[in-house]
Amino acid sequence: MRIKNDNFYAYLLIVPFLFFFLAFLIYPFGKLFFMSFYDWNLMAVAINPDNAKFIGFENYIYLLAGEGVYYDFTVFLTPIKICLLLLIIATIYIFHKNEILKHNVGLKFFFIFALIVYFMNGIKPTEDAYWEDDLFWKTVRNTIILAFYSAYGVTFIAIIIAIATNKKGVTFTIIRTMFWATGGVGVVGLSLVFSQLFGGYGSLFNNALEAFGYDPYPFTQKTIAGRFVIIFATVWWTIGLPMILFIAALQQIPDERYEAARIDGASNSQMFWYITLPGVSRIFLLVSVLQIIAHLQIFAQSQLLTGGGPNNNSRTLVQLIYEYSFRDMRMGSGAAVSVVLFLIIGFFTFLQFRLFKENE
Amino acid sequence: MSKRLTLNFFVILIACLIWFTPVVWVISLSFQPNELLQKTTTNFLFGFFPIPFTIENYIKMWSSSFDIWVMNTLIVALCATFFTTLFCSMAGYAFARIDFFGRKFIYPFVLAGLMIPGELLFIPLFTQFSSLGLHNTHTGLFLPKLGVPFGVFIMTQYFKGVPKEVEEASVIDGANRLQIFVRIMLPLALPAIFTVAIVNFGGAWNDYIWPLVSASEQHMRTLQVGMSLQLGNRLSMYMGTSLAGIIISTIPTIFLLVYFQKYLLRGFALGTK
Repeated sequence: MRIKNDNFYAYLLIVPFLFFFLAFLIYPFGKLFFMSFYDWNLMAVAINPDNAKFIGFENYIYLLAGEGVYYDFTVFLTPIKICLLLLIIATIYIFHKNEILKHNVGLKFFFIFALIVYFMNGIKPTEDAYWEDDLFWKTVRNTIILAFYSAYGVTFIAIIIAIATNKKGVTFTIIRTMFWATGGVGVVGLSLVFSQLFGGYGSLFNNALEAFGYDPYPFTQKTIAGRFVIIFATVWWTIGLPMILFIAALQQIPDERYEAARIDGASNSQMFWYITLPGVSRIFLLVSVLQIIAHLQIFAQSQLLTGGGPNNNSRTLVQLIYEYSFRDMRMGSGAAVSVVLFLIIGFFTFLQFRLFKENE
Repeated sequence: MSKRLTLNFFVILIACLIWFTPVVWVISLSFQPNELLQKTTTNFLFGFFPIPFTIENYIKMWSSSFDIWVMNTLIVALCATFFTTLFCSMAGYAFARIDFFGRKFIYPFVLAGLMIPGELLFIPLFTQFSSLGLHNTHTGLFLPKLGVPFGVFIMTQYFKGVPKEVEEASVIDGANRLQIFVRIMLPLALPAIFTVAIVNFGGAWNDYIWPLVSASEQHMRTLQVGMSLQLGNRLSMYMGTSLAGIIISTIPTIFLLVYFQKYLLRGFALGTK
């Protein structure tokens, strides 16, 4: 439907948004790439803009260059890890045979990603390895591992809670609201609470351990336990929205489908794999990819809970960007790390769109 | 069947209680005196009951620079919410309903902007705002929030779902686009407006990284930044006070999330269709 002066009014309506969109999203995005090719000292450039020196790809070379990295198969030979790999392969095989994977692109994505994270643990520097920047690769690995466990922790727990609370009644509404409400906590509050729960000696969990006669354990000062605390805090914090989205999807599955299956003599687990799971598969894919993109940008949790963790084992990419730019004043290096993170996020976004197309 | 349902119910109830334990524990700690918390946080029944009880923490928190942080955060969050909601609903209406010249090019361009995580642009934004001289001002804190296209996406999806007949009557009456937008479409879009507003308010209220780099002066700090810097310095001394501050700062966002749960649910269910 067209009416008089449509073009004029349309532009009147979109220009305010478009101005801010171009000024504070597109322009900085372009400038980020631009800055990553410069030796851009925060203080020097603030005094005189001419102090920014063009250095080509040197920032990237600094991040990526090094020698002495090798791929270590022996890290997979611990019994637990072999069992884990066999478990993944067995699950894929069973799903493949029952044709569950065929229509569930989100699950396929999960297994691909799980294998990537599994094999990333084998990348190791040798004894006399030489790195221009020994933090960068470690940080990339930490970020991907943290994002993977946080994103799928959120997704799977959200599905379980959604299925369990998708019932009518006031009690279930209250329970749902309690899970949903934790999302309102700010990230600083979250970190303080979890550091008091799992932190050093004298935290709640450690006092409980002591009360039951075990030795206290400094969670945030250990590699695996520190990561676990970050992941647990993140899951606790972000579970609300995915849960609500899953409940919305569950309510759109018609009851007749369950009735028909029950008449045909299907068991509960069969109904779960062949009716419930396909019913939420679109949201499963959407939620898991959105969560991965969000958690690749994890910053405040690791900054405030573990401070980058023992031996940098929980330092994340955004933390690295922040430290390079505002502690070391090297804005150029920070911008280069941002570009790398954008490429990682862009890869997952691209994968998401590809998989969505395949799904339809 | 009913036996299984009860079992299911108790399992989920216990899970829910465990999930909520940290909140209860922190509320209880915030009512205990600082001197006690320096020694132990698990005084009576692992600290789950505020004995000895005091409300001094809350009074102390208000008399520190906390009120300045609350004012800063409130101004920034309200401005960001108001302008984002206004501009996004305007643009959303135009993109959804007006067949203007250039829409086929501009709308996909804006949607592509959804792929840029705006949070990560703090380095170029920092230099940009330095040259504009906007650091340590309220304007500088909320302006970057206005460029994020998430709200436009939600609003456009919502306006597309409104039946066309609603507009047609007023077009025949000779109303122009602005009048249609303000009088007819805006009131219809309240659920989507609430969604965009609440998401933006929560985001601005709990924003951490941009205020951290932009507001370096004491008097411009927001709640999150102020508290995180304070925690670093004197957490062990003033634990109860800090926890009281965190509880005060959390109340608005939790209240909004819980009170507008239904609107949010509808808005997101539409937006993800």
